[in-house]
Amino acid sequence: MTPAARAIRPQQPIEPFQSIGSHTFRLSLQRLIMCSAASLDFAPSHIIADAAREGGAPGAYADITFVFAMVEKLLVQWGGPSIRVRAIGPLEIKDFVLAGADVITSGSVAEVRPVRHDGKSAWTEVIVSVSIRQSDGRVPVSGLARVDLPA
Amino acid sequence: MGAEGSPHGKPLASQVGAESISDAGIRRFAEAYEMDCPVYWDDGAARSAGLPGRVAPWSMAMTAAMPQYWKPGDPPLADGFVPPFAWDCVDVPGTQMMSTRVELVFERPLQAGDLLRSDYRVTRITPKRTSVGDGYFIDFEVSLTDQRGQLVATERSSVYRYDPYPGPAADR
Repeated sequence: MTPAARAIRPQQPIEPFQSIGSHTFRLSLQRLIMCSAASLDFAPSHIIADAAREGGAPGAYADITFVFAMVEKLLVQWGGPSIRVRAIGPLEIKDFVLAGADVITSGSVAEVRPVRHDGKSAWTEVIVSVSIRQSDGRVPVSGLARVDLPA
Repeated sequence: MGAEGSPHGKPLASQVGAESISDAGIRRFAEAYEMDCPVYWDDGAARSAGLPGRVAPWSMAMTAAMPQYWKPGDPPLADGFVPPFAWDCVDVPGTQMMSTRVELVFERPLQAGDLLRSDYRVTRITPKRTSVGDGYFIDFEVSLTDQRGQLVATERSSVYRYDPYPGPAADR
C-alpha cells in the first residue's frame, strides 16, 4: 500500500507570517530508540537515560537527525510531494529534545522570493521559520528552513 | 588550530558511508519517523512529483554518510561507543559532545545507489564555560559528495565538546 500524503498548504498566495501548520510526534523512549536505530546513531545518550544524565542532560534525548526529520515532516506536510527542500537550518539547538514528552513542530512563512525558472519548471523559493516545542513547555530548537515550491 | 581555520582548505578528515543508499534503508528511516509522503515509498508517485524516482528523506543525509562502526580486523567496540563520525578530528579536550547549531543545505535529493563521501573542515574553535560543563564550541563544515564526486549537500554545524561538571545536573 502506498501511504497517502497531502499538502495542507492552501491554494492561495504565499505571504509572510502565514502559518505552515504543525505536527505532533509522540516521543517515548521506545520511539526514540527506534528513530536512533533508523538513523544508525547508537550513542548511549539517545538510548539510555542514565548515560544521558552522566553527560549533563536530564534524560535520554534525540539526535540531530531526529531534529532534521521533524522539520522535514512539517515542510512536506505543508508543501506536498512536489516540494524541494533546499535547506534545513540554520537551527539553534538551545536545549535537549527529551524522550517522554511530545514533540510539536510548527512554523510560518518568513520570506517569499521571486519566481525562478529552471528551464522546465517555475519555482517559488520560500524561507520559513520553524520551531520545536515539547509538551513540557520548553522550545529546544528554532531556526529557518528554505524550500522551493512549484510556482 | 592552524590551517583548518579555512573552510576552503584541505579537509581535516574524510569518510565514506558504510553502504550505498538502498530502498530498504529508505524504508527503515521513513518508517521510524512515520514519513508518509509517497515520494519516499513509490517510484510512480515520485515521478508524478517531478522527481526521477523514489527519493530518500532529505534528513537522511548524515545517516547515509555514516561510516561503519566496525569491520573485520577491528577490535571489539568498547562500551559506550558513539557514531564513527569524524567530529574528533580536532584535538581539543572533552569527554562529552552535543550539537548546538546545525544546517543542512541540499543540492539535489538523495536516491538509492548514492554513496556519500564526507569531507570535514573546521572553521572556528571557541572555548566556553556553559551550564553543562567546561569546553569548546567547534564549527564544522562537512561537504557530502556522491560516487561521481558531485556535491549533494553541505552540513554546517557547531558542536560543544566539554567535560561535564561533577554531580547531578539538578544540583547546578
